[in-house]
Amino acid sequence: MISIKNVTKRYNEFVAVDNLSVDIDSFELFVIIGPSGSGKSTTMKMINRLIDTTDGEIYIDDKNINDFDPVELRRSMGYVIQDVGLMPHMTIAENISLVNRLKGEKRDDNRVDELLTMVGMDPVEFRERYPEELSGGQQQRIGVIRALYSNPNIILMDEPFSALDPVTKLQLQDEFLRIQTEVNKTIVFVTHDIDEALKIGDRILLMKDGKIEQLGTPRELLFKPKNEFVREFIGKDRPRRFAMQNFNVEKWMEKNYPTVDKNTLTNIDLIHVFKSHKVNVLPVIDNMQVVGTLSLYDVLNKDIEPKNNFVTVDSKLDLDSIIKEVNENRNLLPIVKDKDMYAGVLDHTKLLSMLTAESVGGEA
Amino acid sequence: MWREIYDIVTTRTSELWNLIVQHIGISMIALLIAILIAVPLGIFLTRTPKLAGPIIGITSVFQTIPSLALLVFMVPIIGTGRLPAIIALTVYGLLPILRNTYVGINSVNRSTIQAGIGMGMTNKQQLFIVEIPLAASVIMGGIRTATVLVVGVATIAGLIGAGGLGDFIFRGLSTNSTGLIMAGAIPAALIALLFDFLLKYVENHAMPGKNNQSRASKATFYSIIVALLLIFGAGIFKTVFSNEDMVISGKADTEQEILVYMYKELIEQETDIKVKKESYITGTPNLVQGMDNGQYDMYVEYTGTALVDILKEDDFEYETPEDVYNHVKDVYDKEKNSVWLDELGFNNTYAIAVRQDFAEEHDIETISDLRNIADRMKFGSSAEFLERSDGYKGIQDVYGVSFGNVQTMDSGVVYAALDSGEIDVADVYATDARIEKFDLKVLEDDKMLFPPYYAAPTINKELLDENPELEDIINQLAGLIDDDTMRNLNKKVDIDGQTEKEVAMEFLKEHNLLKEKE
Ligand SMILES: Nc1ncnc2c1ncn2[C@@H]1O[C@H](COP(=O)(O)OP(=O)(O)OP(=O)(O)O)[C@@H](O)[C@H]1O
Ligand SMILES: [Mg+2]
Repeated sequence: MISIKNVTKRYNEFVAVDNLSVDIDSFELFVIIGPSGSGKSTTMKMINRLIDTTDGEIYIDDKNINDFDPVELRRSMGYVIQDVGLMPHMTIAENISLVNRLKGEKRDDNRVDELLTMVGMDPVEFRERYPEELSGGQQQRIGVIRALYSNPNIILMDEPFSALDPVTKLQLQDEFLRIQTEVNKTIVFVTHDIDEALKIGDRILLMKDGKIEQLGTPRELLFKPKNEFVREFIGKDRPRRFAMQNFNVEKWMEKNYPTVDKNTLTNIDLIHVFKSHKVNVLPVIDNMQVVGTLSLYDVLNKDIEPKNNFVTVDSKLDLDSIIKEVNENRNLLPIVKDKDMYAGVLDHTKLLSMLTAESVGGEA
Repeated sequence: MWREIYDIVTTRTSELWNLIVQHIGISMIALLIAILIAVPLGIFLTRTPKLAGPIIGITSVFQTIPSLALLVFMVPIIGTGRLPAIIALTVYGLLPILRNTYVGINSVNRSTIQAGIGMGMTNKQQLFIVEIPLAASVIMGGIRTATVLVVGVATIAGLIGAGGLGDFIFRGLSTNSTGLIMAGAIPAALIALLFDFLLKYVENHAMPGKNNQSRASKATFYSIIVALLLIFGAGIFKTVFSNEDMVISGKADTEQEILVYMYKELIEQETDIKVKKESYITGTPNLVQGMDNGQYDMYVEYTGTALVDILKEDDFEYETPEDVYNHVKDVYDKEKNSVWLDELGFNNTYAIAVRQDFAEEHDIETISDLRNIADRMKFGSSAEFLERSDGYKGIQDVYGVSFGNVQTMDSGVVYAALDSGEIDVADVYATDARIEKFDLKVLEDDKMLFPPYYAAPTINKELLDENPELEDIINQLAGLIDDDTMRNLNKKVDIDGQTEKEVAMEFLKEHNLLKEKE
């Protein structure tokens, strides 16, 4: 656990970090976000002792960082600095394994290759190149794996993906999340990208002028913003989009909606089924497959032939597609299929209320 | 001129080669010291930025002192020879290296350093893994600038007996030999260019972070480094480890140089003493000081010079030249740490010379004959002659002769000036071979103004006590060289183009003083 206790950093009169207190839990992916100049990098540097605090203390697992040997402290954590900072006179392999050299150890070539592959760079192609011969985004990836190389328990990452194209960035974020579930590190991750923060953060610290604006889970920031600044920073549209992206059909569909088996159609009191469930249309199922629907109106008219008045949506579809599908077939019953089998039914009204998600997003 | 240079290079190859090695030697020692001082100092200054301005400022000031002046300042403090030359050269080499080290290290990218520290580099690792490698090419640039500068300035070292190619240049200047000047200047320039080229190559390839070095160019790179180290090493080795037991010095002219070679040969063939030749020293005071402080062990002095210049007894009354010799010998025995051995025989006194045709035209035989036409004559004088009481002042007082026009000239150009009619009269040395070559008339000193300038070796007393056999060895030349002999020997070098060493050996051989080498 990293405990930041009443930490202040002043440059002459200017206060870069203002009486900041935060506990970062072990194995947490802790995101710091905030406008430029809000003190994010300063905070990271103080954890690494790259700069000293003006006031206050920082503890790692209850030991004051000033009681560590600074060199040992730094070697025990990975640090991706904001400007990447690769050694221009060393090859990529030498850069990645720099910690080995500092400790006087031999370099682990397998580890180097493994990490290069992980970030989508061909080891054979890149190992022996020099930083100058890499694109900005490639350099940034090297900066990231250099920090991961010695498998430290604490990793500080200052805008590690800022120079990447959206596709590579998404891939790396996913990869990163996968690794985090596998190996569980304590990661402090600075970013400017709110979507990135919401996607990967266990908790997010939103800073401004060296002070905390809000500290909480992505959901809390989205749906319970503490003040207008937080709301502004998150953006008007993002809570809805977030809700939509995280929409889960299975949670929203009615699994207990009544159905009738095709083979028992003639034997049961259909009108009673309609009445007892207070519905006016029923899906007809044959061997887990939807074969059609019956409406109360038709049954009252003695027509028990299943009709094709339904639309099916796959349970894996995202909210946008589902709403589009359902909206285009407004008078048909939306039936959810999971792997081609009947799974449940969607409620029209409830579904459309998602579009004004703020009211419901929190619980989704 | 090319012919002349060619002759010198072919006939004096080993001497030239020695001078080149010497030249590189003193340059490289100075450079090495400069690097050892400036690089750590530059690094230190990056750690203490407050000191950087003043210290770099001070070194800049040193560098604005003209090299000649710096050298001349140093002579009264440290004396002549290699040490002051190396110190002066070191001072010259400091600034470029210091400045480039400071700038080079300071211009290493901040974020690269931060990344290093952030990853847990110690201060030492930060310096040796990041800063020095990244600043290497800039530092090399400074070393290159310093090298070219030092190799160039090192020619001036010849002036104070430190050797090097300046030796040829100054000899050429004093004997008016363009060939000799060029034979010194051209290699000096070539050495500077060579180092410039080689170090430029190293500098470019010290540029980090490039994969553009093919195998072949890497090989070239390393061979150049090895070549540089060898040149550095050889020069330094030669200079540092050639420790000799005895140093023979001499004044900056041909006859002294010939004598130095003779003595060196005689001493080395008959004793185990290793003789170092540190000669061609400009200015008698430098020699006297060198003898007084034990830097030199022996050189040939003239009785008149000792009397007037060294002992400052220009009012000493004497009947015969022998009186002067006996007097200076006595005074030296009592007051100095060196003693006079026997006279060689020749009297290299001052003489006043005019062109032969000029003498005939005006019917001049003696200095007194000049009185009537002096105010229409142009006099080219050596600086020393102008200052001496038995020089131009004496001519004016004793003979009542005052020339209409007086200009100071280096003895090297005096003959040419006489020959071309630029001047009409000049002071020369009686044994100078060029008197014959330029067909000059030496005027009789009818009022005995000039004191006798009989040549005799002076030698360090302590050394002689320890090696009493030296007296006999050295005195083998006593009485053997009269005016004509000396002038003839001088002629062989100055006019026929033989080397001083050849002439010296030839002479020893003729007089059966050379032992056959088994
Ligand atoms: N060495 C310094 N001297 C003076 N002020 C500094 C120094 N370093 C940082 N600051 C100031 O401290 C404040 C916080 O800087 P910091 O680098 O922590 O910002 P940041 O939140 O990381 O910004 P960004 O998102 O742009 O990286 C800024 O206003 C900056 O100007
Ligand atoms: Mg920052």
